[in-house]
Amino acid sequence: MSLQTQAVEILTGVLQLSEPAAKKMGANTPLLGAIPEFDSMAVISVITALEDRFGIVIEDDEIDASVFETLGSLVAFLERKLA
Amino acid sequence: MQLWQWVKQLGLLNSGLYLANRLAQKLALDASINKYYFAAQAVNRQPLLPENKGRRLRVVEWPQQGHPHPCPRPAQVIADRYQQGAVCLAAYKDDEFTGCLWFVTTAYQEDEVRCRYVLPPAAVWDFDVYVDAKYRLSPVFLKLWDAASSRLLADGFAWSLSRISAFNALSLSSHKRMGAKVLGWAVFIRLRSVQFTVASVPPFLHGSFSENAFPVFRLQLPDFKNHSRKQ
Repeated sequence: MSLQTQAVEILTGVLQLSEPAAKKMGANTPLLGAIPEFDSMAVISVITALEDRFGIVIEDDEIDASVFETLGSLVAFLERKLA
Repeated sequence: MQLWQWVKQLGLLNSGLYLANRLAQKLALDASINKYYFAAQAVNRQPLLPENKGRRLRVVEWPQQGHPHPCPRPAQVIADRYQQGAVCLAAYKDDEFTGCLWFVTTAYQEDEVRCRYVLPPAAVWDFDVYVDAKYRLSPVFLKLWDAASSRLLADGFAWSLSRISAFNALSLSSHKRMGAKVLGWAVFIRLRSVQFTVASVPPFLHGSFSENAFPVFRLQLPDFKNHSRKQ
């Protein structure tokens, strides 16, 4: 399963997105500001879910708005973390 | 966000009120329209922030005599809050101010419109939860909320009430996701010193013609026996 598919799976689960919305998601899909459910609490939940899924530790300082700008930017962040 | 999405989130009536308020401001009329939802949020008994997050954050109660106050509000507004017996919890990352929240017990005089909230026992009124833009995605909000919850529980409070602007769909949905229950709403229409209030809770209707007259909302907690918190 690709990193992007796994990221979509996590976002869908945490943010309780509908299946059609999840299927439409691509690298350029905006996240912050575009998904109403994506607030600071949701960010923490997504980060925790990513840590659990990939066995990584994401420090508070590593997260800024650019990471969650689009699905592609989130995947790029994960690629860097997993490299 | 597209216009239809915005209207869908806000609702037709709220969108209309919002636009009317914007128009009044645009025309520089000394008038405003505000609509609030009153919400009750259960104080959380377990921290919402995972243990490994926000470790460099600390929350302190900002003393009344502490100057300058870190909350970015006018000095007179801050002074009025303390005059009402408000408590301010401030979050710091190392020595950097990152955000704060305020609460009062017993009653709160609104500072945006003319009204007063009288609280039921076991409830506080929280207001002006501020997080510095730089920290909006950080654990600051949850750290503040957890610290407030812990303190409120220790002091015997189980609920925190607040008002949410009906024009802020994001805030309303965030509150609902945290399990907040809407207790009612109120619309305030002001032209110069005349204010007309329509509400879903007593006193339902109120008209006032001077700065010293205002409706008093004695908010009640509904029966929460069947209310389950979303965590």
